[in-house]
Formats: sequence, structure tokens, C-alpha cells
Amino acid sequence: MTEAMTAAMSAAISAVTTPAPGAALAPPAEPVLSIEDLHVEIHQAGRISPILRGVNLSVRPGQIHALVGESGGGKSMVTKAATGLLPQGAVISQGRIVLDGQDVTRWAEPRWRTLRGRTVSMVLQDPLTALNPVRRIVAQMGDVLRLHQGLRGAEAAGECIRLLDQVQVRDPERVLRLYPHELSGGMRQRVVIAMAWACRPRLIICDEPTTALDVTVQKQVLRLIHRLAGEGQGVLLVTHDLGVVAKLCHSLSVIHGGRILESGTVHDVYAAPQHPYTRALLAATPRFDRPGHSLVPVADALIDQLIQEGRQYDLDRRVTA
Amino acid sequence: MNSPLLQARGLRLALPDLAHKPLFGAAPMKRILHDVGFALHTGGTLGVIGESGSGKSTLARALTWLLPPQAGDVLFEGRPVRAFTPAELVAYRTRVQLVFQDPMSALNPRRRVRAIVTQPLRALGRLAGADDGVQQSAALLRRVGLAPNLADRYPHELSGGQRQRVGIARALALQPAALIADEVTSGLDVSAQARIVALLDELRRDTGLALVFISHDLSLVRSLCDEVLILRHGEVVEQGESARIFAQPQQAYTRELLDAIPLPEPDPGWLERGLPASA
Repeated sequence: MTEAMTAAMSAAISAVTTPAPGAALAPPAEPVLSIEDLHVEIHQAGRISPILRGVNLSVRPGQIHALVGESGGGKSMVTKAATGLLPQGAVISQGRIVLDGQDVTRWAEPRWRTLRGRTVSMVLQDPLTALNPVRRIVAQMGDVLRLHQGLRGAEAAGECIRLLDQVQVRDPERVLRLYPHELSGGMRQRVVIAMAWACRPRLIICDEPTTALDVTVQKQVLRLIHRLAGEGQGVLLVTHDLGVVAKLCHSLSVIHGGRILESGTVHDVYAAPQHPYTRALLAATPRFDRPGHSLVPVADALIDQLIQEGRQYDLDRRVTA
Repeated sequence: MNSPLLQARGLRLALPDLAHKPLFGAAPMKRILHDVGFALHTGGTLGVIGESGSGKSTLARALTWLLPPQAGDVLFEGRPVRAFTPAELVAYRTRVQLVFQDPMSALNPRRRVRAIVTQPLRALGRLAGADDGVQQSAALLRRVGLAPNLADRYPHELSGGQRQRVGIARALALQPAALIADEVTSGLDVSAQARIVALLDELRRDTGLALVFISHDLSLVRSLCDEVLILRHGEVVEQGESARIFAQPQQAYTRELLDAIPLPEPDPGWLERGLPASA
């Protein structure tokens, strides 16, 4: 990375802490998630392959921060590290992860279980795999409430209805008695969000939460996430969709090859993207309002850009895990 | 103008609604497609837009006569498919090929890419038993921008975008006149999407391949298709030249769909505009 880029990046990062005029950032508070210089390696068959190479990221209460990049860029690895779900063989070799004030970098599974659901929870891309297909919604939501809040019976049922009401599910009493396959995609994702929201976690990680949804349903779910953050939750939104980021998030980090290439407020980054990769992602994003705008796949656009700028960039460093 | 390559006229299709089937007796019929029609010329591109449950995938199946519609006609080169003999129907399906949404389930996980892309040739006896199709598969893979050495891989060893290209390569094996692509870009990231769209556009320009591009992504349809058809609950809401519909949508539903697309520009008021809140 060149010095100029490092300077641009640190400028962009400092911009996160000082909200731009007009941006709806919460007043500065201790971050609910702070990842510092995180390095993760995969040890497999005597070989060590780096997956994350120095990731810095923080999410404050009430802030919606996006982690943006292509498949294989390391997005999911960051979310896995932040929820203690790194796969077998993946090792944190450097850096630290601080979740709600606690350094969780070296935590073992039993301790993580006390945090998941309560301090950090996740909403995944495919609600059908996140839900158990053979159990009714009421049983699955009830699990979360029993496990983390000790609620049972009528008390739990009442809370389920209240939660579904909050995620704007019509007729929650009926929905509770249904199985996941009886719900539409948007309804399922609302149920998953209600479950993630059940214990008022400090941080909700949403991994491509609307990728599988129709545009109109997507907008409703985005509104919902926006409202949750409005109540003081920190949200880390993982996505490849720069359209969603522009409309929903306060700030973003662009990840590629296991590195954060650019961070800043949505306002600043969209107005003047500093890194060629960010510009390439924008060029690959389809726009119905610009008929002349032809889509350019990222690598091609990136190479064009680099040739123009006479810069070197190691494209082979893409992480494929 | 010559007669269209592929034409649909007044397609109506209903399927048994199993969710409302009484314990005894037949399930009530549910209307899936109602009076859908279009005309597609060689080298033309038709985008079919609709939300889940609008009948998009059923339309793909009706066009290939996998689900024969109860009323209306599909015409190929001016001849009604309904009147085709079984042999003519097989020939028709080699000319109009389907590519599916999820390549992971559309490709046999236990076969190598080479066997997958040459399977249509083998099934129709265009590849001798002893021929392992090295040349044909290499040519097909090159056609979709994949390295020929990927032929030795299994589907799970490919990325999502590569798998979708394999699906397209297989559809191209029989040199079809038209391709029906059913949500082929959903599940891919923006860059992989852009590659697939570029590939389809290139095939259309180079070989005159006609394309029915079924998608819920209006922006992709805009960048690829000359004509669009917007489906809702199996009915055509609006159809016509894509430039006109995207610039001046006539129907409220079309405007609602367009307004719901998040463009990559910050806009603080966007989230709260339009659309009712609950589902």
C-alpha cells in the first residue's frame, strides 16, 4: 500500500468519528465492536494461508456500519471472528476484538455462549436455513427467550407476540403457530430479525439480510433495521450491494483480499471514493436510471483504473476461502 | 419485419393449489398466468420482471412446454408448439434452452464439468460413446469465458459465477436459437453479476441468440434488455420498450418497483418514502 493511500485511509477513518453535517450519526460513544489490526490464518495440511491481514473496524451504538466487498474478500471471516464462530483451523494470529468493552480475542466456546444472542446476534442471508424447518415459529422464538431471559409459558408467548409486532408482522398470533415454509421470504426474515432482537443485543450483525428478497420487501426490511439502530443498537451490515449501503448506513469499510482498503462515512466515500477498488465496485453496480452506464466487472475496471493511474496492485492476493 | 422467433399469445395457466386442498377431493385450481403474451425476434432481449410468486418461473416452464398452458399459444418460428409431435417437441427444446437460478442444484455434483456441459450432445447422440468430448467442452467453456482446464473440476470446486457460466455453457451445447435465463444472476455478487450480463450480451451480439431474461433485478434488466414485461400475480402490468418503461412508467406498480430500488447514492429520506410498513 502506498503512503498516499495510507494517509487517505487514516483521514477517512478519522472522518468516521466526527459525523459529517447532515449524517444521522449517534453522538460519539464507546464502540460496541472494535476490531484492531486483526490477522486470521487458516492452518491446513501443514500450510498457512492468511485470510485477514490487518482488519480495523469499529461500530458504535446506534450506528449502522457496512462491510462491503465481493465474495471471497474476507467479509464473512470478519463476522465469524466477531461472533467466535471461526471454522476449524482458522487462527487469530494477531490483533484483537473488543465486544462491548470485553476483549474476546482468545475466548473459548463456553464463554462465547454467554455472549451470543445476548450481546451480539446475527441475521443471515437465508432465513430458511437459519430457522428449523420442523418446528413452529413459537417454539423457536421461545427457545431464545427461555435460554437468555428465563421466560416460559404465557409470559414467553406474550413476549413473542410483542417482538413480532415490533418487526411489523401482521397477525402475530397466527404467524407464531406456523412453520417456516408457510411464511414468505420477507416474513421469515422478519422472524429471524425478531429473534436476533429478542434480548436487545448491543450489536446485530446482518450478513446479506436482503439479498434473497424482492426490492419492495427489501425496502421494508431495511426500514426495520434502521429502526432497530435508532433504538441504540449497533449494526454491522455485511453486503455487496452499494445501493443498500448508500440508503441505510452511516459509514462503511471496503474489504478486499482480507484488507480494509477504504473506510469513511457514506457521505464522503460516495462523493469521492479514494481507492480504485471502491470505484470499481461502484462501476459494477447496475443503475436503471443511467441507460448509458454499462456494467464493468470489478477486476476489469480495476485493471483499467490501475493502468490509468500507473499503479501496481497485486490482484492475485484475492482470498478464495 | 420477419415473423418473431418465439412468440407467446394469451397464455393462461392454472395449477392445483395444494395449500387449500380439502382432505378428500381435488385441490382448487390457482391461476398462475393470465393472458401473457410477447414476441421475441432473433437477437432480441426480453426482460421479465416480477416479484416472488408473480409467475416468472412458471412462464419459463410454459414457454419450454414443460408445463403446457391451458389456453393460449407459444409459437416458434411461427408454428404453434401445441401442435408439435413428440419428436418436434424434442427438437424445439434443443432450440430453446433453459438456464436455472441455482447452478448448485442444476448441476450434478458427482460429475465433472466436462461431462456436464457435453451431456446434451450425448443425450441426443451427437457425441459418440467413446468420445469424452474434450474438444467440445473446451470450446463451450471458452465460449462462456472459462479456462478449458476447468473441465476436470467438480461443480463444488467452482465459484458461484463460474458455476453459472457452466450452466450457460451446457445450454449453449446444442446451439439454441433462444435462451431462457431464470434468475441466473441472483445469489451472485455485483461483479459476478456484471460478468454474466456482459456474457449474455456478447452471445446475443455475436450469434444472434434471443434471450428471455427473467429477473427481479430491474437495474440488470435495464442494462441488458430492449423490451420488458412486468408481471404481477400472473398478469402483465406493463410491457414494451425498456427505455420508455424505465423513463416513463405508466403504471403505479412499475413506479413502486422502481422507487424501491436503492441506487448507489446517499439519500437520507429514501427509506421512509413510499410503500406501506407491514407485511
